[in-house]
Amino acid sequence: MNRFQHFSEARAAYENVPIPDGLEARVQEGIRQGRAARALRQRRRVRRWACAAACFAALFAGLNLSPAVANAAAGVPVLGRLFQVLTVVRFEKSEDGIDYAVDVPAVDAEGDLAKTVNDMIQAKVDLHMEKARQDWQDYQDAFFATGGTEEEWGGRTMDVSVDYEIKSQTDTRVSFVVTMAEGWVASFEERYCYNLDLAEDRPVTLRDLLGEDWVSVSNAAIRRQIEESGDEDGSTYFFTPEQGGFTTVDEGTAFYIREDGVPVAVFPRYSIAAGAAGFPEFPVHSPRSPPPGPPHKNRPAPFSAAAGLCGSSISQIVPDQNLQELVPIHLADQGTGLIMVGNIGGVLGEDVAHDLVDGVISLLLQRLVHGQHDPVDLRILIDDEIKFPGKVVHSRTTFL
Amino acid sequence: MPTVTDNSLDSFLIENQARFYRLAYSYLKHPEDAMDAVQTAVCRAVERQSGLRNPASLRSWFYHILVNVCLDALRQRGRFVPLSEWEEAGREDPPPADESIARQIDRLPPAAATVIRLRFYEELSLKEIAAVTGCSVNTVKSRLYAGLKKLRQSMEGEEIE
Repeated sequence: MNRFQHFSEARAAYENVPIPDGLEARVQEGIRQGRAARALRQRRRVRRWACAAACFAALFAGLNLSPAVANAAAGVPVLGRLFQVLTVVRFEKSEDGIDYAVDVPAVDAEGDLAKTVNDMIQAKVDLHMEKARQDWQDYQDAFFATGGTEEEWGGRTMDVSVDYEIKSQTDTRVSFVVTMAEGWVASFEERYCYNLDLAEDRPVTLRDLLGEDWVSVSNAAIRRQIEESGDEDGSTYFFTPEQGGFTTVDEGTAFYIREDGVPVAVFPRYSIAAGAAGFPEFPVHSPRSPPPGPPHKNRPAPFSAAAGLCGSSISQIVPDQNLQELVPIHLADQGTGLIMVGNIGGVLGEDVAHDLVDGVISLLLQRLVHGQHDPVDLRILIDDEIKFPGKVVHSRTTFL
Repeated sequence: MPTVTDNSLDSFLIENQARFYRLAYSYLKHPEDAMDAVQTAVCRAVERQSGLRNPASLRSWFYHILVNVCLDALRQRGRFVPLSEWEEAGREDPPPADESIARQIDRLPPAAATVIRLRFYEELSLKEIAAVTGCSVNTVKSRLYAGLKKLRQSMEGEEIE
């Protein structure tokens, strides 16, 4: 059997993959969602603020229409900070075979930082537009120089876009990403991240979010995620360090801040992985620093009993319902150990409602301290992310 | 200036949904995940419809979106999972009629597997594959040849011309 016979048989098998009955409904839903998203995108700035503060929706709509309203809103201490990122320039046009769709964000706040960032963004946009125009001209010249005809060219056009997305915002801090792209099918794209502390009039750094060990913390997290991306044969899109892959973060590493306060490192396409990997992103969780923002309502307060039990190095206890694997835990003053995740109901031999988990954890700890159980028979999961109320951690492995 | 109308895009998406599903399934090996991927790709395509100005490029443009959605889904899982692991997990998984070649393709590096699926299953040209994957035609060729070489090496006892 030759190679192509093999592929013919494999293709026949591929074509015989059964199609689920619900597929067409999902496609129709996708079409509906896409149309809705497109309409929403055009009203994005008003809608985003309306979701954040519904009572200010009408005021914000007025902001876009009335400079007087904008100035008045900026003068109100609470409201002023809500309007810190505004689109200044937005246009769509077609010129010389290039279709432009540009939303250039600008930071509207007092201080030198805002002006510096705005100037930086505008400079990048100007450079991007000029590069796109040159690339398009070069592409056309090459096309016709290699024998292409006008008929084959067929009135092609290229898209040039500038867009932005606000990743997170608090009263004093904003994190957004500006994306600049050009292309007609396979696009060329660049992303720039901005993390601004407008109260202190300075950029937010990874050191601010992760502490003095930000380099080692970031490197460990990124390496772990790269390693986990490989299959059993070790195949992965990521280059090895020897091939030009990831080695270390530095002051120039781009990142944005998620809604939950977790920094997400972003790498340019092709920089550490093949192009099919896109723009690799890696959330980096701080082992000690909790995420900014108001505490989650399900997050229990630190337990003094647990702190005494484990050596006072636990900063918070957060149950995670969906943890499904061994989790390495490192506590200051203690060695590294492993946690076996168990179901809290299984530990107690009964079902426990999620909203009782906090109390159950406290009860268990009290039992350990006062019930003369093996003091190392209970492990506490430390996690910066709140997902769901859920499971207590139970292990028979001694590591304290 | 030719554009892709709403009706023409909808027709394309609906008429080819089975192809899209099979390609997504070849990555994700799970019916629900594959339908999620198709729905997500359809949504993105419709949302970004204005970004496509040449109707002749519609197929490669959409495959570009779909492949990236599938790769994103695999990355969110944490790693690329070989077929055997999905079977062990008890997921619904109709075995391919020819397990050997399909399995071997699944075990290829993701970049080579993508090129081979698009070339031999979806019959895209090398130029279209380059557009879908965002790399040059030469890179597509390199990946294709490397993938085929690896397939030859891994299929023991088979005579490959």
